[in-house]
Amino acid sequence: MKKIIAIYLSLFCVLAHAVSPFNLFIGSNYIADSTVQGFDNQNKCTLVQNFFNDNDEMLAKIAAGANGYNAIVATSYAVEQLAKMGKIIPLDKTKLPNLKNIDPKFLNQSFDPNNKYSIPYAYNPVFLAYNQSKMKELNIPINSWAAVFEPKYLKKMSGHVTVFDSSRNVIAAALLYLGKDPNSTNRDDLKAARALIEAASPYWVKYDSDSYYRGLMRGDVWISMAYSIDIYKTLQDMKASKMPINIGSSLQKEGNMIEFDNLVIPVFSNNIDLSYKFLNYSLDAKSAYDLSMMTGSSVANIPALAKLPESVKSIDWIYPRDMSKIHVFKMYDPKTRIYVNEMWAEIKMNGACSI
Amino acid sequence: MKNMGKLQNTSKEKLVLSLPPSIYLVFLFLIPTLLMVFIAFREPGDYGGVAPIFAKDPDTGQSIINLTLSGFEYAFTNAFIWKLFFRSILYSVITTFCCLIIGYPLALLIAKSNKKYRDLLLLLVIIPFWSNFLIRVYAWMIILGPSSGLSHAVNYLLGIIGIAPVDLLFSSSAVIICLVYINLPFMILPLYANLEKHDGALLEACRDLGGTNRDAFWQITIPLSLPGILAGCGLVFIPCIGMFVVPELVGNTCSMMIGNLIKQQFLQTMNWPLGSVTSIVMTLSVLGISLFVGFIASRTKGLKYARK
Repeated sequence: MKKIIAIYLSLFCVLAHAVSPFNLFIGSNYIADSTVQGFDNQNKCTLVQNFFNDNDEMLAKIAAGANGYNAIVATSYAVEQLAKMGKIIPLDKTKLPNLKNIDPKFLNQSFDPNNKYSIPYAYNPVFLAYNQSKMKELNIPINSWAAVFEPKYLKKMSGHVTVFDSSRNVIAAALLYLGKDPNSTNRDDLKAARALIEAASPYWVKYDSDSYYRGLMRGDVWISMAYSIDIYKTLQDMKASKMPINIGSSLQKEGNMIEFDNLVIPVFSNNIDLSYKFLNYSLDAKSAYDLSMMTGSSVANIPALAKLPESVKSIDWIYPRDMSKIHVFKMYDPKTRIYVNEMWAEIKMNGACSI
Repeated sequence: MKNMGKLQNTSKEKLVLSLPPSIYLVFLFLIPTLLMVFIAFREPGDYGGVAPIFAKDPDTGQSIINLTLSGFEYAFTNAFIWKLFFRSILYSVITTFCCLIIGYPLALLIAKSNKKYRDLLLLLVIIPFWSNFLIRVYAWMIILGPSSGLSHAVNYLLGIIGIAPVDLLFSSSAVIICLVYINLPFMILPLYANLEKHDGALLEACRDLGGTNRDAFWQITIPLSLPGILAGCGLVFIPCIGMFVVPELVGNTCSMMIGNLIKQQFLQTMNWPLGSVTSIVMTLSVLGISLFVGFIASRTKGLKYARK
């Protein structure tokens, strides 16, 4: 009996002395395993990943009072919104010596002037991924957003098209196709985008940003809005399981959005020092290199980019050659946000169905 | 006097015993529900949540109380919300009906089977609960997928009678198939609990009096099992209405339910007041339907007999 108690006690002591957790709030498959291990070993802590599906979900959780995270990966407009909500702290750059690795092109963005609150983590273009043989067979122009918005093309692939379950991404794509500013808050532009989406939505089978790549892999989805990291992973998986690869990807000539993701430190972090250490660690060339190699995210880290093999660097939908057609999401003002959200609920829930 | 003491004792016992569940219900049901009602009358906040209740009018500088009916107005004037409600109720009714049709014979079979096998059969009904509900829905995604045997077989049969091939996955029928599958045990268990208790002597009496097997089933078994049927239907219908995971996973753009709208309002668009309004309307309509069904049922003779 005494022995058992002793064992329990020692177990308890081990647990009590166990390394403290570092809670990271991040999208899934968005950090290299080697980075997690390296950070754990360096700082004697356990990096715990807490996943969210999209930035709006993350914002909703934080707005509802979620706390306990030590660092958050937030996309462009989410940084602005978290700052407005007073949920993140201004960064002390002297604690981030590795910031020098970042390409200055990616610093001082409009959503966070002078990087007061955030540092760049990685970015992910949003583009169209498709079933190559089907597109050839049906003669669909995959280099244009027309492929998912023009009924004349959609008619041929009804029930095999998916777009993201994300108002910002779908509306931005529609605005780009209409030749407008993808961040437009002009009500006429938004109405035009709505009309375009409503004409196209009867042919879409799903609003899906989580599992569309499985559909592409299975062959029941022929064309879908896609993130670079998902497609990169799908192609790797298919290669590993020796499946014939029939998935193609292409940027669109009207322009593409990138989800420009950043690291921020929330005010409620219980270990601000460790948070800074993590931010600095992620700016390290090796972390950025591993991130890009493992997940297919695009990084803005100059020494990491120099080391990347041509086979990754030359992929247009990971590192776009023409950055002039690439746009970053800006935050909506509260009125526009509510307007767009109501519009999106109506579009998405109404569908174009009798019942 | 002795009796009085005993009475007081039992009422004290009752109080002590009922305290934990009462506290539980007050904190985890009553207070959240009241909060939800309160939020329904507030304005949405600029960055999610709700706007502060006391604010200053930006034009006149007077302090105003920020309460509004606009959430209700929006919900009642927008046709799409009613369409979602109608669709949710329709799906739930169909699901409940299918569960009853499939579950009743099965429950009867288990109740009538040899006592030796009953527990085993019941265990087989419960076994699916051992794996996560999401995994079971994903399994259905494979079964209904376009490259599955079932899909090929259905489309082959449709081809014979000259109907164009259909997609089984990502359709309203896929939603209903999954809803029926997930909810079936909730129909079978209360039905079994009821059917098992039936007195076989009643059926024998019916036969002695010249009744056929069919008479015995329709005039004795069914009326006696009404409480089980009602419990099963309630257990299936009520969770069904608020379901949002299943339509999201196997439905298409035309099979969104009211649960999806509520989830969207809280998790994506951060319009808490509208989310609360929709939840309240849903709760009230479920309550209304349950009361109506309960009222109708309470007037049937079988239920009165079964309750005796």
